[in-house]
Amino acid sequence: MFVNWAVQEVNLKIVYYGPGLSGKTTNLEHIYQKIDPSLRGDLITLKTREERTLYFDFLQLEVGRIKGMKPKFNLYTIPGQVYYAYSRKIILRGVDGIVFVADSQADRLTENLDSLMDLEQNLIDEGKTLEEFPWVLQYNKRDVPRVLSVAELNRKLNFNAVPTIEAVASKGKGVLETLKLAIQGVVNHTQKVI
Amino acid sequence: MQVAERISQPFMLSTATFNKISDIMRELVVSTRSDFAMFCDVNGNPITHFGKNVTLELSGLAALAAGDFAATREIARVIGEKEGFKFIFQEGERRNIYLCNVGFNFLLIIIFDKAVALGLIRIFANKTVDNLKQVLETAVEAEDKTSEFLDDEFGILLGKELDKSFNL
Repeated sequence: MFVNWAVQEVNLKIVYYGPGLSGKTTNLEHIYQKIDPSLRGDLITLKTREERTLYFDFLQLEVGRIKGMKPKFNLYTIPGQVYYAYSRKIILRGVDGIVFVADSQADRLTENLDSLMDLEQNLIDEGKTLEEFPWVLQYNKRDVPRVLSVAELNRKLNFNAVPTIEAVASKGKGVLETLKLAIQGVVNHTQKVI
Repeated sequence: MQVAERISQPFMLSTATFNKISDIMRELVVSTRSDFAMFCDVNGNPITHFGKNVTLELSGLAALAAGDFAATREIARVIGEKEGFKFIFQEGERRNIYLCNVGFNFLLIIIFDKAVALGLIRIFANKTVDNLKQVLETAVEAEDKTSEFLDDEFGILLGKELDKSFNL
């Protein structure tokens, strides 16, 4: 969190984490399309020629002043592919909250777990832990065949009992609800630690 | 805690420090006749800027500059440049951009017309970095008054604002 008292701004950084092709960029694209342009900046994407995220996507949102302060939310995605490990570490610097976008398909469970372990290690390197950090789990792609049940996903991935939400990001279902959940998690966490 | 040694979480920037940094940025732009200069942190948070409206995407510019600088620092590491590179310079058709770090935690971005000599920018950028470091070394973080606004009421009001903005 970065508070600039001179201009009365509170900046919060939320990172969308998860394995490759789980729908992180699709989440941001939907937010970009749905939010009033006066409340958001441009969606910045650094993609490969194959339309895969190379470095990060970035989108800033803001809402009206609350108690004199203007909250600004800096949303980033990470590149999910295994070999972009360094990019993920860089983007996590100064993170305030995480949305972990899990792919609900049964054959993607290993990738979800690997990405979650990668996140945990990167947070530890930042002096944080998944146990004490505000994050939410989005179970994405609920509309495709052969998905695991929410109960099964909870057993396999949600060992910290964090808030979860079902989503179909390609159709916008659950996307804004996920972001609201993540923002409120960050605010609640910050209230506890200050 | 001194600002130069941060980054603590959360990070508070006092109005006095903000004003001093803003004055330095103004002086840099006027002295070099640059189009624009921005001071931001390595996490991509814009702190203050001065000059022409080269973009409305100030947050995007800061995020991209921070990413660019982080990637370049890693390139330096890969080829054995332990101290990293001193600056990044990109030449455009009409405008050039110069990026350099201010200590470990902050960045300076200067956008200037092609007619302005790079040497001039380098001299003034170095001077500006020294001045900024001096301000940051003597500044302390603003008193943490976060708890004065970030209370339960803030959480409820924020929830309402988000519902309104997201049409939930």
